[in-house]
Amino acid sequence: MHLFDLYRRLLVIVLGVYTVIRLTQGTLRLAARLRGSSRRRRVLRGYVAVLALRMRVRRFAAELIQIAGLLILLGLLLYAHGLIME
Amino acid sequence: MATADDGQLLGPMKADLLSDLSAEQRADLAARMGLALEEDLDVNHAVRAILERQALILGFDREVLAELLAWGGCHVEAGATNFRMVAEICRITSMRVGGLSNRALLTLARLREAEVGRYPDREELIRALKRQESLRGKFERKRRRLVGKLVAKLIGETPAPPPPDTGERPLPGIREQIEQLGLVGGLAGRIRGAADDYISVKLDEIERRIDRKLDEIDLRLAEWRDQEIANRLRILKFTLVASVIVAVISLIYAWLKTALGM
Repeated sequence: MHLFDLYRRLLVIVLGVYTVIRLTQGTLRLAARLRGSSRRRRVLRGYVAVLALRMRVRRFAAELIQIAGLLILLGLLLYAHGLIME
Repeated sequence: MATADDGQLLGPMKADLLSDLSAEQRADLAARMGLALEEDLDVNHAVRAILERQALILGFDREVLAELLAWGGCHVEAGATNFRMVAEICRITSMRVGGLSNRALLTLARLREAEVGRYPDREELIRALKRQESLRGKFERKRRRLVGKLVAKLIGETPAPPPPDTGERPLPGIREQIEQLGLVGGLAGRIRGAADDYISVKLDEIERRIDRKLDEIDLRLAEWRDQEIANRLRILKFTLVASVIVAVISLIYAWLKTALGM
């Protein structure tokens, strides 16, 4: 196993576990806060939905373009890696 | 619908219900419809008079009643019945009827039981309304007008110029209020009006402040949401940059290994 393989596997394990834990934790916390049939909770649910819908992707366009560029570059590097290893 | 609760007449009452009322209750009910029942009137005649008055009120046009309410400076809740509107109109004692439309004059004349012909013209209606006022009532009104003039002069209130033709009656001054309601009633009405205005201005101000605060909170929450998303994207970007760097190093290492035949 060479350096990149090691890094890749470690990254998948660490980031995968971290992401799953954080996402589950966040979702459960949000669900607990929004659950309930009272008017206050209903309004809060509606407001959260409106807040999410009002999000503008254009505001993060620069970051998203950079991420897309990096993903393409990583794909090319993986492809090149495969060619050399053959 | 047949009820008179909390002193507000909401609809017509049937004859048997009217018969069951006491003479005072009937007189009170009739007064709220602008009908003065004589004290010695027997039950049947009183009930018949009230029923006739109810039929008359039901036939009134709501637009005309609204015009009369605006003219008298009265307010009723939206969707109020003809009876409720008439009860308010009956409280108006003003004789300044010059600004009313012919239909409103006719309605007012009928409510005040002025004797008018079948198709009266405007002058006839105004004459009939003035004729209908009792001598005592006229004297009282003139007296109140004099007191109103004196009080207006005392507090230095000058009559407001008539507004441009907006179709609305200007707010009554202290003079008109005293003329309509008497000295105490007029002054009380004036103070109440000022207090109402102050409260409504303050309530508007509070509402505006709450709206402004809510907008601020909304803006802050939106900023917080954007900040959170931007942070997550930045972390993702750094991870990708690190991956690319390691991939490049690994690629060079793999190429060197292949090239050197290791």
